[in-house]
Amino acid sequence: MSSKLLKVRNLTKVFRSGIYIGVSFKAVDDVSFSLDKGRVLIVVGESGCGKSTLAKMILGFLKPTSGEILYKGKNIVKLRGNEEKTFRKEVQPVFQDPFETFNPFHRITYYFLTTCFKFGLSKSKDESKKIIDDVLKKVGMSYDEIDGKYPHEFSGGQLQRLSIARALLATPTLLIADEPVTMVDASARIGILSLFMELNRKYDMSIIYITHDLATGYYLASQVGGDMIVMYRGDVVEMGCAEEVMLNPLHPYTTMLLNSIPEPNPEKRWEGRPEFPSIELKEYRFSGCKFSKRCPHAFSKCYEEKPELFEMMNGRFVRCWWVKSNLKINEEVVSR
Amino acid sequence: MVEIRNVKAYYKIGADLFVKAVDGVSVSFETGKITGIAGESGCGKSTLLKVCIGWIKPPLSVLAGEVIYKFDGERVNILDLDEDSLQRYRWNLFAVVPQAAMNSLNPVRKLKKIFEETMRKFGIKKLTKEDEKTVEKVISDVGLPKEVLNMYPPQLSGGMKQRIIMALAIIAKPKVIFCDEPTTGLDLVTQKGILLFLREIKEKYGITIVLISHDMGVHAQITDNLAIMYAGKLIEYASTKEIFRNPLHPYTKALINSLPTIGEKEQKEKLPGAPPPLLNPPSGCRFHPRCMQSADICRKEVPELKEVKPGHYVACHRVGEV
Amino acid sequence: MMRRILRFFRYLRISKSFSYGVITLVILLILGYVVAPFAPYDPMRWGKVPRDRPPSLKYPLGTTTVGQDVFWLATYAIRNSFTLSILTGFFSMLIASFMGFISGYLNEKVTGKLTNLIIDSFSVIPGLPYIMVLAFSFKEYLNIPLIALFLSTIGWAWPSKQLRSIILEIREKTHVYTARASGFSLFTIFWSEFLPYVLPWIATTVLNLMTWAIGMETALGVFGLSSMEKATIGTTIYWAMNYQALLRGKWWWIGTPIVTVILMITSLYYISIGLGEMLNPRSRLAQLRRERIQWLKSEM
Repeated sequence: MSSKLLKVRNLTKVFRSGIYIGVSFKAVDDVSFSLDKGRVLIVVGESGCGKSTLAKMILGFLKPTSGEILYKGKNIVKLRGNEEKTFRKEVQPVFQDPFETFNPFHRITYYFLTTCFKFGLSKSKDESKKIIDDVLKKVGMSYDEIDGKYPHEFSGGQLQRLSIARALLATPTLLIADEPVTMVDASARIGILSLFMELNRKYDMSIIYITHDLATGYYLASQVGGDMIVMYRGDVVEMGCAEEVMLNPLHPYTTMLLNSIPEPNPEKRWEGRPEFPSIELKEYRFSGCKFSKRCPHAFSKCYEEKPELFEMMNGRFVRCWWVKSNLKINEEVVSR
Repeated sequence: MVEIRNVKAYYKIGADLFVKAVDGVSVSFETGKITGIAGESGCGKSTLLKVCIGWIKPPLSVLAGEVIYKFDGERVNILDLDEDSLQRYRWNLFAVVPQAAMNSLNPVRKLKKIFEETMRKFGIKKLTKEDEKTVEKVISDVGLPKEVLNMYPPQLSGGMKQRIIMALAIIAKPKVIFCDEPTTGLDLVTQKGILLFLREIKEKYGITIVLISHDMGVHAQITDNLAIMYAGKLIEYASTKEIFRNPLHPYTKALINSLPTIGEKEQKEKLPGAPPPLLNPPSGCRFHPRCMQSADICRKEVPELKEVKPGHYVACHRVGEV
Repeated sequence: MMRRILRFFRYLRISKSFSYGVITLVILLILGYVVAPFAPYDPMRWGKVPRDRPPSLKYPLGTTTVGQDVFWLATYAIRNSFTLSILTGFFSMLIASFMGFISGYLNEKVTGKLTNLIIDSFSVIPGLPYIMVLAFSFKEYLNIPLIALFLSTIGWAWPSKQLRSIILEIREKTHVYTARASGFSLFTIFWSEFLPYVLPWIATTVLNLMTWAIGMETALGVFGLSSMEKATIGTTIYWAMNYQALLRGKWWWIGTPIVTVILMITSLYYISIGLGEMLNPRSRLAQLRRERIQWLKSEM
């Protein structure tokens, strides 16, 4: 029996683009990775790189075009009946927009009570209230605080906590957080991140943390360890131990991302002229390396052939011809 | 360039009820520099922006204060002007990039038409070849290809739309540009591009820029001066370097300490509590319920904004005592 | 609940067209359901009253060539036409809700695509010829409920297309995903997540379906294909035309059903517009925001 909680193999999702351009593009292109129980995986990439699509597929909300997602060894698309219910309970999402997560027409308690009921977590309303109160305490709130209130009566940070609490109701094994702090004020972010850290440490909860903000991703990784995947236009371009990837990036895109973090240090300011990414759709359908047009190290092979995901030393994967050729040179130097 | 004197702007939500969004704020934005306004949501920074551009519609009303623009030897108090005079100044004296402006682009208009409509607003009746060239230049300044003018907004990504908004803002060569969270929701690379773009137009054209953001990293990178707002009040103001080197107000200190940075491994401290409701803010110093260093006087008296060091203003009773 | 009623009355005051609609409809409903049962005789029976009398005090809307009182005829016609339209509206909406929701919500699965195919197939059936063929085939069995049923078999098609597009949009809202992750069943999701957005559309569409049903029945009646022994708008017009009422100057006989149908359709139309505005989900959210301010006040 594999100890891997989640295994994603050659996952691909093809979308037919809408009204104006009637072509298809691969939002997620042949992505593979695995996640152990109790580990944290940080997925990093720009908006539109496919990370949200990946999240939706892992949650079972979107059917993959090809490839498979194995949760506890079983293909989630094929789950039926009780197994499907268990999967639903054990894999929970936390969404990006805390204001949209709850239906504005219902009181907040409605979601909590109904979830208890639907997942069969309690037999009576009073028992539900107790369970909800316990879960709310974990996120630093209480049932009395939320009783009778509507979503618009809370701040973004509070709503995000409530969203996490809702996810915790079913005692999940895997939490999938899609940009959970992006729409929360900078000062409230640390609170939410600390919550994730505590959940991972105390309850051995596996977390897939999706973000475009490397700083929070790094913070999480540095505190609880974990792996990192960097995505670009549907491809995985770098993969490995999170701390190492951040401190020692190999792929030129990862380096570019790291250089784009606005460091809160006015002594170390950015230099140079503004550089912008190009029109994305063209990049998606490119046959060579998708990043080549923006890459400072691109050479002829990059434009013609898409690189494979190469395994470098101990668990580090990079999808780049330049890195590979550099490493070959290094290997030659070493072996001599 | 722009001087704000003791502005009080409240939202009226009931017979005697006011949300005191901006409660006695005085600050000036230096000509040709980028001034940042930082603070959590609900601190009043967006309202301050509305006051600066004269966008005062009920239930918002300005109870006191002046907003004075100084340019070409003139002094104009925006709050004194009527709608017609304001119209004259819009786009060529000051331009605005409001929050989530990219969502306000008309989705059924070609971008070319959107530019034409905007240019018509400040007097140009028919677009000459020269105007078209200006538009193309401004488009390439933001890193977009010419073809984009023939596209419709839904075909573009968020980052591209925001760049279009920036292009629209600078096309009339305004003297001041106000940006409200211009990079929120955008990915890092586009954010860096837009911020560097703002820095570039400041350096090239001497435009005064006011940047509102809750992200201190953004402020650290491109602003020259930084104003920190909390619960409707201005609590600290200094040059950006000074603020980061030497934050004096406890809130500023907490804000800076809560930022995760690559390479640092210590666990960060979070700020307890939440910002107070502006309907009924705490007495005295509005930060005192959350402040580690609050004393009796903090509860009773509202601290004045004082120049504690040359160019460094703080509103705190306990400055220098801890 | 209370605030909805208050909002209704406030809207009544504000909008003239809405009040016209409501008042006219109320008057018509009273005539049709409250007054009609008091008819001294079955208005369809011939020879009960003197023939061809113009409107007078005794016969406020005159009499027909075959000896019927036009006034009582009208009240029965109103009742029958309304009953027909309400039944049609109800059944069509039932079918449309089901088909629209399934095809929209499950549009990636086979079930969804199949329902969509069915919707598209039905929506291109030309309404009037279809109904006429049905009505002609079942001429002996025609009565008000049956006509309503026939109309419902195609009335649902276009509304379900509309509902499908509404559902496709709301389906992508985050809170719907939250509900899915919380183990909500299909029906619960429809009821709690979609319905608040869909309710105003349902109200407007039911009214539109009612209007459509009245119009269709009138058309059928004019061709003699409606339920001819019953008094309806359509049948009255048919008989009036059959006896050349207009040519012979008996304007009250053909005028009454025409004016009645105009009143019915316009009143329903204005009500549907007014309801659409009143039940607008965005204004409901604004209402919730106003309540937040009340809450803020109460916190002081």
